[in-house]
Amino acid sequence: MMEIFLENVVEKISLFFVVYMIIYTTYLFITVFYGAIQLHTQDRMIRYNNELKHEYYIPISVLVPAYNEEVTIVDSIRSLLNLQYKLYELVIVDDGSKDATSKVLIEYFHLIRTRKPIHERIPTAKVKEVYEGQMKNIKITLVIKENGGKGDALNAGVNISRYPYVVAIDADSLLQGDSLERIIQPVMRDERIIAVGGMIRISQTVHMDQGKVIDYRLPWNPIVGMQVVEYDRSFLASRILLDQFNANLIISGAFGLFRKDVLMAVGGYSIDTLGEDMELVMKINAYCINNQRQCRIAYEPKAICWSQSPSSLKDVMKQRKRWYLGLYQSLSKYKELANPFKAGFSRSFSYYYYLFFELWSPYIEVLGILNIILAWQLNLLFVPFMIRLLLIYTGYNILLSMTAFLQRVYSQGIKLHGSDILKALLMVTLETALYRYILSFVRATAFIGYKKKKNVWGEIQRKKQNYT
Amino acid sequence: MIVNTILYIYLFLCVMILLYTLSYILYSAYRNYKEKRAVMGWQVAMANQIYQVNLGKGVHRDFIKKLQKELVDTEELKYFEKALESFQEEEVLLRILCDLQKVILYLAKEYGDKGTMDKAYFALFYSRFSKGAWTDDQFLYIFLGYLDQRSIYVRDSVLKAVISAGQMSWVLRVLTEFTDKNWSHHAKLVGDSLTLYPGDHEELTKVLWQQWRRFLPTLRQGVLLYTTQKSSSYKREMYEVMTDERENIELRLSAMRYFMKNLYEHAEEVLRQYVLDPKKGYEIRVVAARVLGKYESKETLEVLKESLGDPNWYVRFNASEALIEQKRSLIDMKDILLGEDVYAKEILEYRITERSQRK
Repeated sequence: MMEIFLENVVEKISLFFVVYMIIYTTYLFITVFYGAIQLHTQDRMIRYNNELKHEYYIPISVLVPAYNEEVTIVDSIRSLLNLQYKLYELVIVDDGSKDATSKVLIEYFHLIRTRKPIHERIPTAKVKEVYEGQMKNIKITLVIKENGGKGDALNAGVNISRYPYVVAIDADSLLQGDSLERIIQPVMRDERIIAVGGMIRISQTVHMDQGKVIDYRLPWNPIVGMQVVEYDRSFLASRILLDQFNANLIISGAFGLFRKDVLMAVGGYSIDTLGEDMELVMKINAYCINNQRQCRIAYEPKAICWSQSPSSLKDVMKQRKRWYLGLYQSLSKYKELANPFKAGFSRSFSYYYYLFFELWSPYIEVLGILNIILAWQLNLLFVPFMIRLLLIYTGYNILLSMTAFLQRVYSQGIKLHGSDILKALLMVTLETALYRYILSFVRATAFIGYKKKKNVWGEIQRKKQNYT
Repeated sequence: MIVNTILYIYLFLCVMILLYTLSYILYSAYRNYKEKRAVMGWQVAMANQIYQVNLGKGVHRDFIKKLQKELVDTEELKYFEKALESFQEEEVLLRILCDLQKVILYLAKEYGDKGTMDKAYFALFYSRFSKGAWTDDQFLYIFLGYLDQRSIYVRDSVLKAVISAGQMSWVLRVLTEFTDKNWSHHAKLVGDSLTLYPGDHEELTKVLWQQWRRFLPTLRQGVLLYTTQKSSSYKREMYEVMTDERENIELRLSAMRYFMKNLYEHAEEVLRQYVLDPKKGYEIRVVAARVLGKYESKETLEVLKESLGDPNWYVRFNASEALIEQKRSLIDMKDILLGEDVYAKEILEYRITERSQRK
């Protein structure tokens, strides 16, 4: 009797897995297939200058929150001074760093202490000092404040910024010369657009000069290499697809543009979540729904930001744990996005995607492993079939990742070296066969020792940028 | 089993997509090679025509036939455009372009049957090289026909093309078309495109202002931005817009900013009233405070000093910026600096430090 019951359980779980796997692989397939279609369209758009190319756009404040960034901050700010954009300012917020982040900035950019009054529209931790300076006709403001977390630092930047649009970037990010021009263009295209996400790529792969990529090489470090191919497949392809349906619920904190009045209306960045960037976009979506405002979140893949990724497994695990818990907090907080009648079909679709295939996936995978063990105990396991399935699935993912990688490299006009293709193949295989299972483990165990932490920066070991 | 089958199908399709991606990359490498050769070919052909024209002859018929036949292909037009770029400085280029009007007209019609990207590109090509040489009225109607498809890129390119042709009536017509079809276009894009007009800007602003009220708000704002850049003769009109309480707020703010560049006594008085009137919208008061920086009368100085203690932070901030712009001495501002209004004192001290650092 018991055996029949267990057999039934195994069968039901297996059926659930079949459906789950089909939906997930179909989604992945559609993203890459759409990427292939876009490859041609985007290529033609660039070749035939189908863009809103003008001399003047809208002034932008670039916010750079920093915490213990003395190694990379000067290069990042130098790169930001080389942007091809007529009117912008830089606001750097040192969130109580323990290292010499402020000191290197003050010395390198000859900043002078001022008593600039700040309009605290969004409450933040105490601002201790403000320094200002100017270089290449671009105003640089450095705000030194007490530690309050990344969200709090960004809020302080929003308070002191003077322009109607703000771009938030990570302190270790390098922006391509035309990235500001690109990221503002969707706003000129459609005035309902209130936030735009840029494309994040991994900076350890490039050597940049004056805002231009002069060399691209996939690193031998497998941790970085695997993240490169993972970004191309999981994040970029997916966001390009979701953008078509106004379904993007995430703008990476590494590079995003926001309308300042909307940011202020929603109370700025949250300071009590681990993924303040994700939380903010969901909050903006909820704000639009609740206030019946027509607004759109766009994604601009031509606005490129090169951001440093963790280069050790320990740092990746820390980062992913933070992302996962941030996702959990955001999805729990904005449940109204799950209601398609209220939020719209596309937003809800995206919400359920993150819920089923991101948040719940590690537990579903654990359930799968338990099911295999149970099936093996009951002699229901057909091993050759399982191995074949695993091999096909792995092969399928390798092909998808490789395609996504080539699509991204091509669409950004990057010249690949022969060895990079071999490296990419290796990284794609490692990522599919090994890395993603490690990440699943990290996510499955993320709640161990979980506390609703406040004011936390995701600290990873920084390396000097390849910027000349 | 079904999973297996589906995965096999997906696997096969993935291989196809990968092959497509790879072939696309290889094709574009070949295209780059082909482009270099093609551009060179067009450069040689153009150099020959320049030589001919310099000898006093016209553009050769065979060349015109070649253009007619080959430039129907958008890729070829791209190569030709690149070749033309290298002759921008040639004095005879305008004469050659005049001789090409018929063929360009033919191409404009041909591109009308193509996709939106091709249309947008052709209009952009026209805007870059018409240089007043391609002014047949048929161009206008062809370009208006392009607008049937509501791509923002086509709209923007057509706007640029029509404006760069240098025909006032065309500009008016295209803005009317946008209005009739209710196609809003970002004011910044409109204002910036209008500056491409190669003729007399005063004349164009005059014509635009005659029809101004008929346009959509974003187009009207575009005209305001353009006027601010190019003409100082619209103080009365801007004053009317600024003081019209029923008018769109963005238009009123743009009109106010006009008086930063073009001083107007009547406006000064109204701006002072705006700053001090708490019933006015905060945007109006904030912009008014900033614009007053250009007006150095005693009354304005007093208003700005008073505004330093305004309950609105942005009014205070802009008033302080305006005061500093007026290069007032510390004696003029001593009542604030020695006064008891902490906010006013704080912001003024900051501005004074900022000014001294700039020096």
